[in-house]
Amino acid sequence: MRLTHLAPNSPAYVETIDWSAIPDSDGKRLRELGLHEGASIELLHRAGFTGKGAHACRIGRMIVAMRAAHAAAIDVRTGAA
Amino acid sequence: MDHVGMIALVGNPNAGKSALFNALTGARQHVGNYPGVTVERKYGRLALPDGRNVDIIDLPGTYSLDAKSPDEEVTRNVIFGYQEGERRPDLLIIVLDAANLDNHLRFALELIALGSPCIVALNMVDLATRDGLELDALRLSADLGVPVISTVAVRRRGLDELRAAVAAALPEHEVTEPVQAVLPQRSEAELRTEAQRIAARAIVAETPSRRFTSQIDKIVLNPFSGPLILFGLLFLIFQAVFGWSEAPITWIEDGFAALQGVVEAILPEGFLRDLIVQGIINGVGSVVVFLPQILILFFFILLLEATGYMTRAAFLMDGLMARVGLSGRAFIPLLSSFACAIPGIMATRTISDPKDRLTTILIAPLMTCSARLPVYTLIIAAFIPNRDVGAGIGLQGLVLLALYVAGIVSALIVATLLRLGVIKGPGGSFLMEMPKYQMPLLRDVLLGLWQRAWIFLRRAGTIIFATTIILWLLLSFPKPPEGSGISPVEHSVAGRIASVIEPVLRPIGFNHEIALALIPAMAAREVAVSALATANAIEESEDEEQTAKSLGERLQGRWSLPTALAFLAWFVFAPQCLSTIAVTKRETNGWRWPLFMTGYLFALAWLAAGATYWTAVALGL
Repeated sequence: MRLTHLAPNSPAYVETIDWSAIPDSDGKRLRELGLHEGASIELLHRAGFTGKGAHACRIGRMIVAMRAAHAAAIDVRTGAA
Repeated sequence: MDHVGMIALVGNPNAGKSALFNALTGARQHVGNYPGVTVERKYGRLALPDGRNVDIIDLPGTYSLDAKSPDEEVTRNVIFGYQEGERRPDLLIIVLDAANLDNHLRFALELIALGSPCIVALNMVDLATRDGLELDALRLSADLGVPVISTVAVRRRGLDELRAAVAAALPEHEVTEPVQAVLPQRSEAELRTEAQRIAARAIVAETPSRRFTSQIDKIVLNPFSGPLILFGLLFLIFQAVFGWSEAPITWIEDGFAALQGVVEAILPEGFLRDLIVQGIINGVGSVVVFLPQILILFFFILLLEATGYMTRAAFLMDGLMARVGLSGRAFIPLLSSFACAIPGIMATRTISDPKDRLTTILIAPLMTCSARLPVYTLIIAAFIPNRDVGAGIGLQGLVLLALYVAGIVSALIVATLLRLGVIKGPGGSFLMEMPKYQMPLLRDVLLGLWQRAWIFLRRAGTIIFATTIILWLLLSFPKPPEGSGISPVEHSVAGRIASVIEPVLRPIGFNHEIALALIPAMAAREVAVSALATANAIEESEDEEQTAKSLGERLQGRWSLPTALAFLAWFVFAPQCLSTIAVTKRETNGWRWPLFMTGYLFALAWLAAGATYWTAVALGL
C-alpha cells in the first residue's frame, strides 16, 4: 500500500519506491535521510485535515517530514522490516 | 613552532555541531562570511591541554560530500582545501548524533575515506540513552579506525577528553596542499550498508523508549492543537516584543538624553556641539532605542530553534505555503524577517529548490522588520487616538496589527503572482529532518543573541552613524542669510533635493518634509525617524517651546491624518534598506533580482500610500 494510506503509528517497511515520481535532488536527499527499499518506516503525523498536507514519518531512527506527493511514491508493507 | 593548527567541525544537520562549537570556544568566537558567498563563517580559538591554541571553524551541516546548496558547497570546498579565504583543516572533528548513528555514519565514512586526520565526537549520548540506546564507543572507534569521544555538548560533557584527543591527533606541521584523494567509489547502497553494519555493532543494547519526542509531537503536530499552539506562541512572542521592551527602551532614551546633557555641558555652542547633539546622538539614539525589541524577537526565535520546535512550525505551515508556491521551509526565514530581512534572506540558504528560495528572498522585505517599528510607533502614537475599541483592545495596537497583517497578506499575494509570472515553474518540495526535542542551553541562546545585537549595533555605529552625519550636514548647510526668515531646512542641500522628488510624492499626500526624510531612509528604514527628528530639531532649534515637544507632537501640527496614514502604508512596502538590497544581490548572484525587488516594492509602496491617502481624503478624515 502507499505510505499515504498507512495508518499512523503502524510499523511497516518500504517495499518499493517510485523514484521516477520524485525529482532527482529530492530523491537523493531522501536516500541521505535513510529512505531505501527495506527501511523500517512508520507514519507519525499528517498536517491538516484533508490528508494532502505534509507527512511526518519515522525512517529508521529519524523523523522526516515530506509532502504527500513524495509519500505517495513510497509503497510500504506493514510489519517489521 | 609558529604554525597555528586549524580544526573543522563537520557533520550532518542536527548533530549538535554548533552546540559543540559553542562549548569548545565559549565567547572566543566570531561570525563572518566566506568571500563571494553569504555563507556564515563561524570561527574561534580552542585552547588545547598541551598549551597550543588552534583555530576552529564550524562548517555548515551537510548529508554528504555531494553538495546541493551553497552551504554544502562551502563545507565540501573547505574539507578539500579549495575554499577561497580558508586554510585546509589539519584535523576534522566529525560530529555524529549518537541516536542517529546508522544514518550519520554514512557521511562519516565518506569523510574518513579522504585520509585526513579525523576524530569522531559521538554527540548527544544523553538523548540516545533517553531513547533506550546503549553504545560502545571503543568498538565504534575500532571499526572506524579513528578516535571516538562521547560528548554531550549542551551539558559540557566529554570536552576535556575531546581536547586531549585533538592535541594527540593534530599534526605539528601545516598541510597546505588540497586533498588529493579521489572520492571513494562506493555506491550509496554500499556506504549505507557499511554504516548500518558498524552502527549495529556499536549499539550494545536497545530498548524501545522513544517516548519523549513522540509524546510532545502528538500534541504539537495534531491538526487541531498544533496550529493553535503555533499561533498562540506567535501571539505571545509579539506581546512580549512590545510588553517587555517598554522599560529598556526608556532606559536607552534616558541614557541618550543624559549623554546629550553631558555634551551640552562640556562643549561650547557651535558647529561641533550641534553636530554631536542634534546629529549624532539624536539620530543614532532614535535607532538604537529599538534594540530591545529586536533582541526579544530573536531570543524567542533562537529558543524555539534550539528546542527543535521550529521544524515543527515549518511542518504545520507547509500547507499554507504550498498554496502560494512556497515551502514550509520558508516559514523560518520569513519569521526571522520580522526581526530583520537580512538574516531572513540569509536563512533561505536552507531551501534547496532555487525557485522557492528566490520567491522567499523577494517577499522577505514584506515581513514587518523591526526597522519599521520606529516609524510605525511614532506615527501611530501621534495620529491614532489611544482608546479602546472594545474587549480591552486598543485602537493603536489594532492599527499596528493591521500593518503587520497587511505585510503578510501582501507577501502571500506577491508570492502567488511571482510563481505564476516571473518565477514560473512547478511547486517546490518540502523535505526536512525533524530533530528530537531538547532543553535549550540558555548560554548558547544568549551567545546567539549577543552576535545579533553586535550586528545591529555595528550597523548603528557605521551605516546609521555615517548617514546621520551626512544628513545633518545636508540639512544644515548652506545656512540662509541672517534675518531672511527663510527656513534653514528648506534652504539646505537636502531641502533642495527633496524639492526635486516632491512632485512624484505630492499626489500621494507626501509633503516636503517626508520627501526629505525618504532620501536618507534609503540607507535604512528607521533612519526616516532620525531624519524627521534631525530636520525638526534644526527647524525648531530657534523655538525652545517647540523643541521641548516630542517629535510626534510636532508632526501632529504639520501633517494631516490622510498624510500620516499614507506614510504608514508606504512603509508596509518600503524598499528602503541598502543592506537588504546588497544581501539580495549577493544571494542571487547579480543585480537582476535586487533591482526587480526594489522596483516592485517602490511601485507597491507608491500605490498603497496613494490608495490610502485618496481613500482617507474621500472619507473626510
